[in-house]
Amino acid sequence: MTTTTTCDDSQAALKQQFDRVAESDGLVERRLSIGGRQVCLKFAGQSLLRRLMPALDHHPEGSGPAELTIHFWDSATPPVEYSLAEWTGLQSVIRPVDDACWTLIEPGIGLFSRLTQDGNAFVCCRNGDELPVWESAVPLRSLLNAWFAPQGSVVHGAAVGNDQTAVLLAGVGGSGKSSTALTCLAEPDLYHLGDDLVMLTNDSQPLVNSLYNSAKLLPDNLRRFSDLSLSVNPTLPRNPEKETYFLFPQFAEKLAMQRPLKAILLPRVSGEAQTSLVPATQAEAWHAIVPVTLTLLGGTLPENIQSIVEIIKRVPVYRLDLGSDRSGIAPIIRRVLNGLETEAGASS
Amino acid sequence: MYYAINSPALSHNAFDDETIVIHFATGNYFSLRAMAEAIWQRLEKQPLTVSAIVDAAEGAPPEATAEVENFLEQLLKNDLICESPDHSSSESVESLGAWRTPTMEVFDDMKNMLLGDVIHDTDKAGWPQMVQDDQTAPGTP
Repeated sequence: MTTTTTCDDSQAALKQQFDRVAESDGLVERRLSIGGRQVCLKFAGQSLLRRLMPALDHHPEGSGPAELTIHFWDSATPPVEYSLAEWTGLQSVIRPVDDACWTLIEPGIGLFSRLTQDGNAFVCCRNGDELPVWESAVPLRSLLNAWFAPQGSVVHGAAVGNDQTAVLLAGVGGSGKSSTALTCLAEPDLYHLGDDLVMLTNDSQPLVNSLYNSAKLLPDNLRRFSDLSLSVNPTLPRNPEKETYFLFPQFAEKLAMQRPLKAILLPRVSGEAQTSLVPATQAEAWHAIVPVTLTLLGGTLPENIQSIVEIIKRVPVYRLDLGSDRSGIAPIIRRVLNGLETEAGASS
Repeated sequence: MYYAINSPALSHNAFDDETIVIHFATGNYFSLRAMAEAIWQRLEKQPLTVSAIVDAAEGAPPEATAEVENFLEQLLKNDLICESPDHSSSESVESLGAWRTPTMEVFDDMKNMLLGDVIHDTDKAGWPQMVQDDQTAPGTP
């Protein structure tokens, strides 16, 4: 659908565009509890609903008044008529929140996102049916990151836990985060909170919150997890180079929504047979988390970085040297979750 | 000349033995250790001159002045400090410990990866376009 683009970028003008599309294409409303906060998602039409919801479907239904209402619609023309300089001006790497709103433009996929301070957000896409699968795997990441500031931040990492606590697995691509998280998925007493991006919040204690039930795997790694029978979503496009799998509803009982953060683990493939754990520094955790997170989010707010730093300083950090024998991974994760690591922090 | 931390442009955090500074506009980040970290910590407290820094180091050799100037020049070039109009600070600075040449590690990997999303035009409908609108995932090398 094409809506009328105007120079008026006010919240009222955006809402008017959304209402017009909803009137013609239909309105679907979903309420979710994400990170313990109530979010209402209003979709005008079906395309963005189809593309964005699979990764979020595992969240429990929200109850109570929405703290954030997100309006989604497609439009062949952008929702606001900006000059090239104004579009470019929305691309700062890290920026302070101005008094009115937070805005992000993703030119590659034609996605405009705006968060206003009264708990509304507007997401307009050039063509929802053309959104790539990697966007479907981790939708709304930057918007949710901005919304959670300063209490929390989206971070690049996987997270697994038991019924009490969880650990964050942080590191660059190929370090072993996903394979470690999926290894734990096969363990009867362990839960999965995220594969690629999770939300850390800084409450009376640091918490790790699930955001997405998606998991991405290289073809070589998929063979290692053939026993899990992971499935793709047939309604979404495929990416054979790194396929996206959705753990909900297949592994619904293995997905946890929120856990206190026990420790940060920095996995890396060691080349040894056995998996081992050695203490690491807070600065190593910063280097493992912040740069790649900012890259994946296309930028962030200073408040988000500060919340990450505060959480890093509140939990122990370990390097997880992953051995080729997968059976050794879960026992070490359990030791950390149960607080059984030695005083020196090393175990093997 | 007095120099001060360019606070509005930065986030900086001290960890165990390393201070990490990130520059908001560019996404570049910097690792300061040892003498570089000690100098940064003194700059957090007050604007400083080159001579005040050198005088606060124990056993500073003759080349220390040039090395401090070089270090501050790097900080200036990366917009991490600025020249300060505040000339009222005390020249007395808490000891920096034994002299070591201050060095800084620069990381510009975020800048390089974010460059892939630079807008260079708009399409006929007005949506902004990337330099290469190839649907590459953000952060994908």
